[in-house]
Amino acid sequence: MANGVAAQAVGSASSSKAIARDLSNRRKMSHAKAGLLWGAFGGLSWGFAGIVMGIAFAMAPFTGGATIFTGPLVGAAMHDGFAGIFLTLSNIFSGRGSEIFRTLKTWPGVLVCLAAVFGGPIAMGGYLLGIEFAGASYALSITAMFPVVGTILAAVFLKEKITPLVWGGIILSVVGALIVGWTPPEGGTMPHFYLGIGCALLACFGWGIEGVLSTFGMDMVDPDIAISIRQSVSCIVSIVGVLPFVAGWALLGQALGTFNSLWILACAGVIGGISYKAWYKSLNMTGVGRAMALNITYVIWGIVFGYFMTDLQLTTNLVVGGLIITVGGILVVCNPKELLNLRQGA
Amino acid sequence: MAIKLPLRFRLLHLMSTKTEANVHDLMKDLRAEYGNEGQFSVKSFENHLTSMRASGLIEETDVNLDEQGKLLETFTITEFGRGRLKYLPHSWK
Repeated sequence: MANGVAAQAVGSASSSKAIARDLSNRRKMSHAKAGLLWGAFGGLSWGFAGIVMGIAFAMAPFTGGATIFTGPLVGAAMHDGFAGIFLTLSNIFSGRGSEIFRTLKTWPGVLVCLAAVFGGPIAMGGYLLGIEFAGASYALSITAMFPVVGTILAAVFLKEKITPLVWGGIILSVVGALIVGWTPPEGGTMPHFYLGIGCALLACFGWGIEGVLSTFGMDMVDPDIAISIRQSVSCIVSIVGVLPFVAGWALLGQALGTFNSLWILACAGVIGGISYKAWYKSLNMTGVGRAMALNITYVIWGIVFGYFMTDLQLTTNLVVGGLIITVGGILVVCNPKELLNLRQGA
Repeated sequence: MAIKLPLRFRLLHLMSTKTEANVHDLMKDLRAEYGNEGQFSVKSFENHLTSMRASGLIEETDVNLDEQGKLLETFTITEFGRGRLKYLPHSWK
């Protein structure tokens, strides 16, 4: 009898252990899938933010300015500023406002600030100048290669596990993005074409480095806090360190007083802020390689939103490139079990 | 006096002082420091721990069900996680 009770107790304990193990596995899988969803949502929302930003940039005063650089750089600084304000307020309302200052006093916080400079003034500036000088198609396709840079750096510095399937997905996504952007140069209308290509390459490396630095920092810092610091620092460094060189403060003053374009840019900033938050969450939850391959899907969404919201014409390149990016994205997400442990040896 | 760390970094530091711990152990130890903040919740702590586990900073040593039948995971810090402690401010080393 006593043996029977003991056996029942042992059986009950082992069944409770099995349930706990099952729940634990489900929690891990749910975390991994949530990371993939954040990544996909980041791509979608960045495609939308790009279209809204484009509408604002086509309006006064961004079409003016002292130099050809001024409008896009002022717009980028303001975009990050609106995003930073929105994300900081959302952290304050969720009871994490003080985490921002704590983080800034630590080394991981400094890494996030450095990521902000690479991904903000350097990469965003390069991206916008690339569009200005080389045209959106070329600039978008070159900057879309940032996952390759980021993934190589993540494998080296973060010891991130990059499986052949993930590499396949990343390469396909980049090839798709290149096909999307592959249109002949517009000849005389792009006198600074190669300068634009150089700026786009700068953006490509800036975003790659940003992803790795911020992911390193987010090992020790909440992603929601990291992204509000990233956007705020990017805005401040752009205003203080970049705009004075392109006579940007005057245009900034005008832009802040022009309600017609200001509210559209504020909307772009909020959408872009949400998109960056999704991207940072996915960097932390699924790793740099996967997050970046999913983020690249903004190219597809840029085509979709552009088709419905602007006068974008669908071409064979856009459709074929978009399909290849989709296949690349599917390769990255098709085996979530691979990403239960993101780092080598973990 | 040591500066107050971001919660995730503090959790990693606390894990380095213990052989192993579950979410309730960690919340009990940090109640005095972070107890009056909006982020002081089981859900928030579990999110940090799940993320730190996926990143290889900590690993689980045991899983159980608590009295309410809810999952209770026990973790320990990994060598990879200990490597991140060198980025702590001097006052925490």
